[in-house]
Amino acid sequence: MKSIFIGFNNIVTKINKAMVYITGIFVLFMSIMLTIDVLLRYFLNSPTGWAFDLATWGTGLVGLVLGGYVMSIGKHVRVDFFFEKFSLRVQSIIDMISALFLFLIVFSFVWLGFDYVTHYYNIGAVSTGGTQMPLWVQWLIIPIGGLLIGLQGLSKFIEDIYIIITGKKLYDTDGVTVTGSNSVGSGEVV
Amino acid sequence: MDIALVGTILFGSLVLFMALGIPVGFTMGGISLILGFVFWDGLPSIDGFVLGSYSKTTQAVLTALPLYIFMAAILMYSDLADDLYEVVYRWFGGVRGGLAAGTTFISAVFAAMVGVVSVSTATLGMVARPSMLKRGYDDKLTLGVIMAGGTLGILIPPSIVMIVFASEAEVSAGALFMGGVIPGIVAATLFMIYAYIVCLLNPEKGPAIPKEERFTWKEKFVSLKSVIIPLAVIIVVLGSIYLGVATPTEAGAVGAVGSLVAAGVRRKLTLPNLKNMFLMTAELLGLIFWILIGAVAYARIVSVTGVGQAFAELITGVDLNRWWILIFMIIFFLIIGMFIDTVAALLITAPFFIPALHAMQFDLVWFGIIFVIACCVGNLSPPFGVSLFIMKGVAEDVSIKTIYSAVWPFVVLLLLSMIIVMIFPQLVTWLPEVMRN
Amino acid sequence: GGGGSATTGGNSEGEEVQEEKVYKLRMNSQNAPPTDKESSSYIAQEGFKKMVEERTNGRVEVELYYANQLAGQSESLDALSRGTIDMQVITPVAWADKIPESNWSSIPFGWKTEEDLHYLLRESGLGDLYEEALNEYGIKPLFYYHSSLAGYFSNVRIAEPADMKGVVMNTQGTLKGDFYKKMGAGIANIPFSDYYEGLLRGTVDAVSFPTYAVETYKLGEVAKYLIVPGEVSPAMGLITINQEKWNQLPSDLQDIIMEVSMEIEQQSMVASKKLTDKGINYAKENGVEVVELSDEARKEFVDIAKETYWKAFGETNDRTKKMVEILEANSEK
Ligand code: NA
Ligand code: NA
Repeated sequence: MKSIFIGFNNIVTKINKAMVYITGIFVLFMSIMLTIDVLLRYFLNSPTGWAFDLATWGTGLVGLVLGGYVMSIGKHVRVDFFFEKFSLRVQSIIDMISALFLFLIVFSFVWLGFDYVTHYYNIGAVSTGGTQMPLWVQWLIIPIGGLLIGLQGLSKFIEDIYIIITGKKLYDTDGVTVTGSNSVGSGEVV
Repeated sequence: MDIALVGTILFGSLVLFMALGIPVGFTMGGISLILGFVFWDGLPSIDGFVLGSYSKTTQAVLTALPLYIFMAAILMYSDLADDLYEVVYRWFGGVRGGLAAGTTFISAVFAAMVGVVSVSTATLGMVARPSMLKRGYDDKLTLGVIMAGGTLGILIPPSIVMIVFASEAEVSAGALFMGGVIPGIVAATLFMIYAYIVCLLNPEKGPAIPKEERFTWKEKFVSLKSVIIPLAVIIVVLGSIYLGVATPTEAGAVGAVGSLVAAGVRRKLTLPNLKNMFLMTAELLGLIFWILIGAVAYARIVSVTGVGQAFAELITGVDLNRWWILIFMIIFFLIIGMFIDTVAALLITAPFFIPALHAMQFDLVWFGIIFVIACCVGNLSPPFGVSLFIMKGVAEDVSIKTIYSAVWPFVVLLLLSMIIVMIFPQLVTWLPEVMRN
Repeated sequence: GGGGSATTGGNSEGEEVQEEKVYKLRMNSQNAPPTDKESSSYIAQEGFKKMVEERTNGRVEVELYYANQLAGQSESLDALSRGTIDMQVITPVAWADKIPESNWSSIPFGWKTEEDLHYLLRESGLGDLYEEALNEYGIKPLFYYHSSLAGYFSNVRIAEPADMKGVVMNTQGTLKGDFYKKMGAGIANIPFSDYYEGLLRGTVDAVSFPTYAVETYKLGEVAKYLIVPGEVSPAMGLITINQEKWNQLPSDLQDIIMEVSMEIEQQSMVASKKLTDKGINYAKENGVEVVELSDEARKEFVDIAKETYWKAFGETNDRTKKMVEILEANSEK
């Protein structure tokens, strides 16, 4: 049983960490694409007309699918002033309340997100910006983003239950340093 | 239901769950879904939540965020700070307190390149601090100038906080960028003067380098070549906006590509570095966007329940000079800023403040700058401040207590800058005005 | 959405206390709160609210939420059809991704005057075709408000299509983009909040916007020329209601709301003209050169619009085909 949970956590964490590279390459591509677009407009008066539109949607894509990754490294911004003084058990109880909030969000994203995806598919809605992408494709970022953070949340939730019962951690997450030696502090934005 | 009661439930539950340590974005999102269900006709409010999340995250103004964050990440991992610091060391090392003032100067230059506080603070903390300590500089002074200088990253353009403010208040990000330049210089100058005076009064806090260790003029000038790349990045970003080549958003892309080139030239574009750049970009983006999702939902609940309007009416209806109201808002924000991240604080207060500011007919660009200075204070003010935690991360040998006590003088100086900008709005409006003609 | 609540009506002396249902309508608006009481936007929103509440003796309450407070522009369509909001103030083109017929509202050089637009909407059958499309989405259009002529705020003097060559025009959507590209213009896409800075710094050379913007949005400070009539003259906004919500209203209330709607629409036409004149005069007095397109030049613009936007729009579906036929017939009158 325990090994199933650990295996589940490993898979989910791996998927979410893979998002870092997918989004990283996308942002790199966005930067180059927009720079070319600027040059095309400034020198040739003929920008692409789709680059900015793609980047704007891509920003939503990137932001939404990274929720799970940030969760996996425990960096969602929180006021840890009191939190860090609590025992592991109390922290887990609070994290369970936090999971309930998260699951409400995830449930809405997945359920209504897919509802909109199918609706836009059925009516054949197409983005009027430059990309002319089908709207249902664009809307996939909502249910997928929700699913990614939801799975990570579920994995964390399982550990919280385990901690409350046994008082010990379930996954070996100590020593996970992600941003390398220059790690940005805990839970802040800029 | 009585509006005051609804307001108490809305705000009270937010404070309670956040204080417990539930992530800000989940708290705002979860509360909004529950209260939305109750006060906003049940299921349709969930549609509102999902639609709002999609439109906010794909809002054109926010396209700037991944670009500027990526740019910051590139600069962070290309070790530019090392070379810049070498310049300061060679030029100002011989003056008493010179390194402290020079570090502030480099911070300002760094701030003009990146829009996030964490990058300048972390890099300078790693580069400048050991060197200053080795030269016998006072630890508190060293910590203070680095943290204070780093926080200017959001006041001197480009700036992530300004982009988020522009999106909330529907003002031009470009106008905010230009408006922040002079106040940023004012604050940096105050820091430098302070550092110099402290060392003048207490020579042991900032000794000059011994004569025999000083650099020749030739060595000084040679070091300047490392300023070229940072200058080029600044010129590319701010110049392209100013000259109308690129919009502020596009300038982020141009800056990112420029920084990539610079990193390549310096042979810093290795795979491990690229990986670190991606990791940093992903972390900041993911956490900002998941606050945004909660914040947009919360803002809508504040609207639909009428609490926001009631608050705005309460504030504007008070028989007080509108300046007092403005000051109370800032004090309120500063208090929140003591406990929570400034971008999160902005997103929490915006639904209450922006309508009230509109009603009182304050210039939102000018207010935006004052607000960003308040964010700088928020980053420094204990107990919760980005700059403080990063400093603690980089300077592991120092206690958080020492860090807390090191920032106070700079918090005061920032408040002084804020007062100066309030009294002389021209400091914000002058540069955009001049650039127009 | 529900949102109705029971309150006590009847006379003040309390002889007869009659329970009367009060219908609350949440009206989300894409506009910032209007300050000018003579503007069509003010009349269409605040004026509508006031008149509806008065004439129904408070049985209908309109709650206004400005600046997309409850739903973003594009998403407001689904928010409205699913009852998240009850009413929406919108420029139809913002819904074109889901209802392609909405593109008609942004069609370049489709009409010349308030009367012309009124004819198209209320007599020619174009308005009915669009209403059909909205009905399919569960939405009922109530009325349009005319919001003054939209001209080009430009730093390049544009007197005929040939002058568009090399101009960086701010525009949105592929259809519009193709229209400008055909004339050799470059296109840019900056958000409304950056128009002022965009014109100031020259990121864009021209934007299309209602003339009142010379004064209220200060675009006159950063544009040398105001070219009139621009691509949509006049521009318009649409006030819509969720069909189910509408059906819940007793027929006497429906009648009152329709009556108010038609009155407001008429008032907005008058206001629109005044606003246009006000904008143009303000521009002249403040050093902005007003360039009036000659009939010939306008004709040339119309021809290019027909080859591009009109044509592509007409090819979308059967309904848009009919809509373009109506526009063609009208333009040849
Ligand atoms: Na900056
Ligand atoms: Na703080």
